[in-house]
Amino acid sequence: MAGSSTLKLAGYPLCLSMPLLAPLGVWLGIPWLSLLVVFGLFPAFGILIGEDHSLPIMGLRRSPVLMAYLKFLPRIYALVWMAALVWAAGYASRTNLSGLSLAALTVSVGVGSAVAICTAHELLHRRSKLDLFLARIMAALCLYGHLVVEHFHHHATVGDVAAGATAPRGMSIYRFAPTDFLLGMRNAWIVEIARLRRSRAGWWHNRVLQDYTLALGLAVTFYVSFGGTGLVLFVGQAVFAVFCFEVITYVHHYGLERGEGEEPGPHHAWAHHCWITNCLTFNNTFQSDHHLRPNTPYYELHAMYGAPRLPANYFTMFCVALLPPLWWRLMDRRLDALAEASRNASGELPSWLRAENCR
Amino acid sequence: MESQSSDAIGSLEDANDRVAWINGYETEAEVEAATRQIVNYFGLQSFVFGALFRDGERENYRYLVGCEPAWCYLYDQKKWYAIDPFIEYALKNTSPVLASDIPLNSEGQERLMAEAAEHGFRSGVVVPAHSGSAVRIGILYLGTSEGPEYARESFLKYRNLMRAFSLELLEWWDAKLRDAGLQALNLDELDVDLLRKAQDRATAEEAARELGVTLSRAKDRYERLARKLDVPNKRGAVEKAVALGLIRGA
Repeated sequence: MAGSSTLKLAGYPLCLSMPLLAPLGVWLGIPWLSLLVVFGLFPAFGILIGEDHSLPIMGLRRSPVLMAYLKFLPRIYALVWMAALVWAAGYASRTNLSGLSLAALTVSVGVGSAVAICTAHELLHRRSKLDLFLARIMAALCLYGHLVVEHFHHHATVGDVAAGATAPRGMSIYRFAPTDFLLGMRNAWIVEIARLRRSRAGWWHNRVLQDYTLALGLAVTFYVSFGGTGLVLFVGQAVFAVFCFEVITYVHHYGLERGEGEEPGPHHAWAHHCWITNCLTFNNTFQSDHHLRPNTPYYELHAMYGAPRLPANYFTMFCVALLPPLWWRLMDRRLDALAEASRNASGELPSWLRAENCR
Repeated sequence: MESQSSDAIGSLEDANDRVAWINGYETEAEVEAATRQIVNYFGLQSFVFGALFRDGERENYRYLVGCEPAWCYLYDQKKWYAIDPFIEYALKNTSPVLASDIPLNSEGQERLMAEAAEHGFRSGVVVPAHSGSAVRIGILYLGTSEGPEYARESFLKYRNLMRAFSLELLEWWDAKLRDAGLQALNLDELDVDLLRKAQDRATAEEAARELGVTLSRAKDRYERLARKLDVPNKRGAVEKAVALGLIRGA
């Protein structure tokens, strides 16, 4: 089943369920539905369905209908998520929610926002101005104004601990998340300053500044439209989404440092090609391939030979990362095995450490 | 777009739209069909659009043709492009002009015009088009088998639109040849982005960080670009790329 490319095409719209879980939870009277589904149901489905063995469909570009479907899906996600965010702020402002219920709603929306950052990531690599604009709006709605500029910097510095995104061995997520966020902001700022100096453009052309100004404007709009509760929800979902994104970055790159003069390779990102995770996150688990072919659209990415394997799917590893002793116990052993493999003449990873090769 | 362009042009607004659509066409056949309709709207019957591209010492011509095939054959066989007074005019001028207002300076040119009159270009309008770079020049020649007064009437009525039309045609060729140039040199969008960054005076490191590639990859690509474009360095690659129309001039 998980090897069918056609089924995979049909599975992509599952991602639209992420922002819709918040209103569904309210409707069903289960405020924490979102967390239950994402960290309970989806991992269980992930184990049941298994790993993603599908390959990109050959000749996809010759089918205008399929191409339109695949190209529009991230844009549709963006619109559905924005609608869910506005709905949640409106609902919170006109309903007398307890602190716990507001937290549940915020986190539920935040789950959709975390996937929205993944979606913005897909869009920011496209050449269309509309998609880039959409990516910047989405980043601003998550108070992540440096996402677009910093992400290209990340591609240039994959595996460089000093440049961020790669947590050195032994660093916990709680230290990594704030450090990486601030480092990313600094990187993006430096890139923009250099670009503006060259082009002699005014300070208002600084995209980081523009996107944070937009974020501030959106926060004020939420406050004016939905009051203090709306603002709390807006900021809360953004903080949750950014934290989730940092956790995923941590899971992707933990300990995989790149040597001096070494080119990025499949072994600079952890992988676990869970079918359902791929459907929900626009193939985010094909990170190794994305590092090597940044402008390749999500539907053409695939598993890469030589990518080291995570012990479990992203949702499970997300939870493990929140428990540093357990994380170190599981992952440091793998880092040792990787180091051992790199010392071998063949450089082959042991089979238990190889992310399944789908080619 | 194709279905829209199959209707005859009924108004100036419609003609304006058709001119604006030129850049959306993919094939020469589509552009030729659209051009024919626009030329008919001007009240004229024949046209030739020549695009001149200079590559160092060499000059390349590309043509869109809407006239008697016999005339094209004769023009090419006699190598009249070497003495064509309209090309001479277009190289040095930017204003559209009545063909009859361009002086003929030799017997050869007079013979050329006499033959042209026999093949649907008794009178007409010459519309030069110049791009940002001096290496790409276009010349639109609109003709009729009627006398100069007929062409004059059309010229006075549609002069501005003719000029816009000629520029659109040049831009279309420009884009088409850019794609062909990239293909011939086997360059991809990353190469073009790197050239643009270099044109913007970015160091290899800045370009790498803004484009999301490693520094070593950016440096390799710059070296490869210099080799492919047969120039000594990055700066030379930018100049050559501008000359070939792969990137726009700064």
